[in-house]
Amino acid sequence: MKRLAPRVALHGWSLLTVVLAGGYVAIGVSSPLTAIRWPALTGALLLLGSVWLAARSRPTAWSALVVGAVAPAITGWWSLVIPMTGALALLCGSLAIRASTLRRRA
Amino acid sequence: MTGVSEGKDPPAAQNRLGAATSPTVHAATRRGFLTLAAGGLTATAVGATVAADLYAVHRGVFAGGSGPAYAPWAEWDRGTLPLRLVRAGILAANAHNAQAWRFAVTPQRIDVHDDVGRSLGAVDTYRREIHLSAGCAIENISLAARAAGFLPMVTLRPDGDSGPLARMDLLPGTADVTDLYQAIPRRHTDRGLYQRGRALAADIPHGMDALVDGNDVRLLWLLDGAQRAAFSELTITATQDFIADTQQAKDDYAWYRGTGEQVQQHRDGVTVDASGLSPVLRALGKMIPSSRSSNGSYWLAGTRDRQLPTASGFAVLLVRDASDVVQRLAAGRVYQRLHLWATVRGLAMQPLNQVVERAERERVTSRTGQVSAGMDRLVADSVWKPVMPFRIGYPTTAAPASPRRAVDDVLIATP
Repeated sequence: MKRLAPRVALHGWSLLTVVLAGGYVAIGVSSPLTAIRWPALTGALLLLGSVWLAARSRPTAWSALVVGAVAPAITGWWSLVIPMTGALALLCGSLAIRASTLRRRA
Repeated sequence: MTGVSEGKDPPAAQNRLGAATSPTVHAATRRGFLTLAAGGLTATAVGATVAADLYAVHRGVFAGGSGPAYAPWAEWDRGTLPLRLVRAGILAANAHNAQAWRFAVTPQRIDVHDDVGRSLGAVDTYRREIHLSAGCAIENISLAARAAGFLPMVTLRPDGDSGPLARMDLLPGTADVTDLYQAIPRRHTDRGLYQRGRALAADIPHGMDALVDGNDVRLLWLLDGAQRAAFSELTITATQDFIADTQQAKDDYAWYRGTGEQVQQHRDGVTVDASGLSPVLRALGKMIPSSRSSNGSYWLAGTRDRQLPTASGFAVLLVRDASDVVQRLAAGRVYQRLHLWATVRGLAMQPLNQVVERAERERVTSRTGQVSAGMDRLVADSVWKPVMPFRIGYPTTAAPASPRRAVDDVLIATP
């Protein structure tokens, strides 16, 4: 239990962050609007990058997470769903980064 | 996704006996439960949000004015002659974006026909707006023909009541690429907010009056406070009556295209993107299925709160005989010219036809018409009849394009 829980936490939050990145990908791929397409696709890449970096470099992971989640939310504020995706990505991504620290300690 | 492990494991014996469990065990269990619940809630929220993302994609929230339905705006001056002239023609202003026109094209001639299969029903019982729209297309084709080096000879109703609405013989001429021609792909009906309180520059009405040709079309300006207030009040009343008229509201709603899929499928009608709503309301409008009633409410609110109060002024195109197709076509040509000229000058325009639509409807239903009486008072000249009121002002944002059918869909096969 002691060893399993942090791993579950890490994988759970990471998985949710990846799912949210998938939402950004779907939006980016479907939109011809430059102000939506590129921020969404870049944001998705940064979210995935933050998950990958979580156990390697926390500051870089945090930077990738914040930029990846917030930038598309700003450019697509009017859509409501993009800011919602960004807010949840920020939550799940930050918990994934924290869980990765726990894993190292465990 | 839980942090239960941080707590200490309870002593097994105590648990099996069901005796007093230590406070540490309680705390760990409670914390574990809360963490698990929070994780479950977040996972559910993530699932719902990604589902909302996919739904928004499906409803065209992020498509905004793109795809094949909007391609004619980019391809308007491409292709061979004289088909290229028709590409300019289909970008003309037209009522409800019904595009009720068809073109028979030969190397030396373009005939413009009324596509009677496309109707606005009770919105436009006498096809006044359809004929005005055809006039707009004729004007665009005429400008494009001159730019291409033709001298277009336009004959309205060449065969009387039957046959085409107009015949355009393309005679050899010299190329004349005008500002109006170049404004064709930039001209869009602007249903949004105009700059509030900004008066129309003094030279604008004079400049537009100079574009009105012939003896059967006239432009009436409603610029002073009293005229503007009277027209606004009349338009609000007409909009309310329109929405309350089941048949008229139903026929109007038939041309509403709520989703990106509908826009690409029909390539016509009034879209959410071109409705003049704020970006947030546009996104919501695409995601939440609309009803005729909600559509009417938004229309009334937009007319009353956004379109009328922010206009710099109003004007009405008048003709001597509103039932005369030739005069309607001529008025349509003038409207297109005015709108292109306004585009060149950085002005925004939008037809506000509710008053005339209701006046006609009152005539059809034989009801005593407060709207028609009000319009008569505004025009105050029994010789001239209103066919097309519009608002004009200074835009706050770039007006979006409306979808257009492909040229192949509006051609009549010629032997």
